[in-house]
Amino acid sequence: MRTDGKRSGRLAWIWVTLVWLAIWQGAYLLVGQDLLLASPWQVLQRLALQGVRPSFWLTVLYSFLRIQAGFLLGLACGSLLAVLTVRLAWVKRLFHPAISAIRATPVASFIILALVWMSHNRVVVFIVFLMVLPIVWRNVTEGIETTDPQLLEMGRVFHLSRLEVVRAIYIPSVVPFFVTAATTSLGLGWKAGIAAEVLSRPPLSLGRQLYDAKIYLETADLLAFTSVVIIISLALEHLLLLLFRQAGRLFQRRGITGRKAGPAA
Amino acid sequence: MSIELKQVHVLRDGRPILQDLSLTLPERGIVGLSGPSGCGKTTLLHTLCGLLKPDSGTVSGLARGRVGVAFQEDRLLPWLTVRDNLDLVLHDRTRAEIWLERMQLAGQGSQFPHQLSGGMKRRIALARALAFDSDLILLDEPFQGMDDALKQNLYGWVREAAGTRPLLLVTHDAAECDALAGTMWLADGPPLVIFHSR
Repeated sequence: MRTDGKRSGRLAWIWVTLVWLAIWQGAYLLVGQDLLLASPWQVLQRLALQGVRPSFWLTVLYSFLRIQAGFLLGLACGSLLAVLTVRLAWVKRLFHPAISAIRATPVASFIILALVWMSHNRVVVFIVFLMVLPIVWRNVTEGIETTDPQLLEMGRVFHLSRLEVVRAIYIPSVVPFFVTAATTSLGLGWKAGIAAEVLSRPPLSLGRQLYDAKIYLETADLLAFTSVVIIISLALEHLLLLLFRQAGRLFQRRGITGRKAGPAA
Repeated sequence: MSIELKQVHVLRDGRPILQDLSLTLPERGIVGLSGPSGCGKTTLLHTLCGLLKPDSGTVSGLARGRVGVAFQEDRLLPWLTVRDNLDLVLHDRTRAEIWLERMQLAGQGSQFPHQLSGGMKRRIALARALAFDSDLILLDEPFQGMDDALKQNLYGWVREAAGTRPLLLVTHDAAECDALAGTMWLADGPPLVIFHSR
């Protein structure tokens, strides 16, 4: 039953993809100028051409490392800041306006400012970090603040240690908020990271390739590199969800104590 | 040493729920507490287990400050199995298993709270309160959702737990009080007033 559902889901996905490819091909034929819009076939040819070049994979790897560094830094700092702002009112008062300002400021302004302050590579890491941090901070804060007070009271009454309260009550309460923040900010981080690469043009970067494609009016290359970014971003999002799902299963199997669940020996 | 409340005042939204309340619990045995909803019974329980700090007055006699509580709500962690819910508090997997058996839930240890009926969840909350190494046990409507035959089976464990320490049983069911409580308190309020009926 479940396999049937999966199969029909896959079929629907293939069908939808084919429809959009047909629309794209139709638009290409309608426009009739390669300079303005490349065909799906031309883009695929460029992708295949790039795929055999080692420098292409190195470009993908470097962009991946820069963006993921910013993403992981944003996740860690956003979570830590959320814990601090919930626990310490003065930290919340101090950081709340700053984070609100970050959220409201256009990303281009930050990129240009960062270009004045730091090297190309760091600009990308910094921009992704800035995009991820407020999302993670807001979600994790909400997760901590909405933790069921009755469960916390139970923990107090039964003298659970601070570590037990964190592991058994806070973390499971915050996880859904953290997962939402991580998956949302991953896509946003890639968009902002590529934008930062386009403007800062570090060597071996997908952003620089996009910029060059635009300068030389290589529309097929532009679309090929854009599709690479989309594919990586979606694949990472799926991988992240898979990781969280596996972690959840492990948590259920091992239980809170880390011991394998099952009757006592 | 008996557990004692001396001239305890607890205000909620400026309204006195416990006012000048003094009472002494016996050193062991079951005290039944019955009274209308909203008269302050839960506030008394929360004061005894330390969740509420009195605005004035003292609570004494809790040598280690350890109280086993079955709250009005089950308060089980939904992401832990029934066995892990007990293990978390008892820190002893073998004892968790023993208490699952006592509650006639040995086969349900690997299930999660949402997979259990209301009565089953109540039994886990009851087991957690009775099994916890404490100076006092507080049970707030612990037998809700259970049939009479099952209750009769569980009464023995409640009596045993109260053999070494006091146990305060809040219930609206006169039959439960008759079957279990050596001492019976009737409550009214707020502010909470307690009459000793036997």
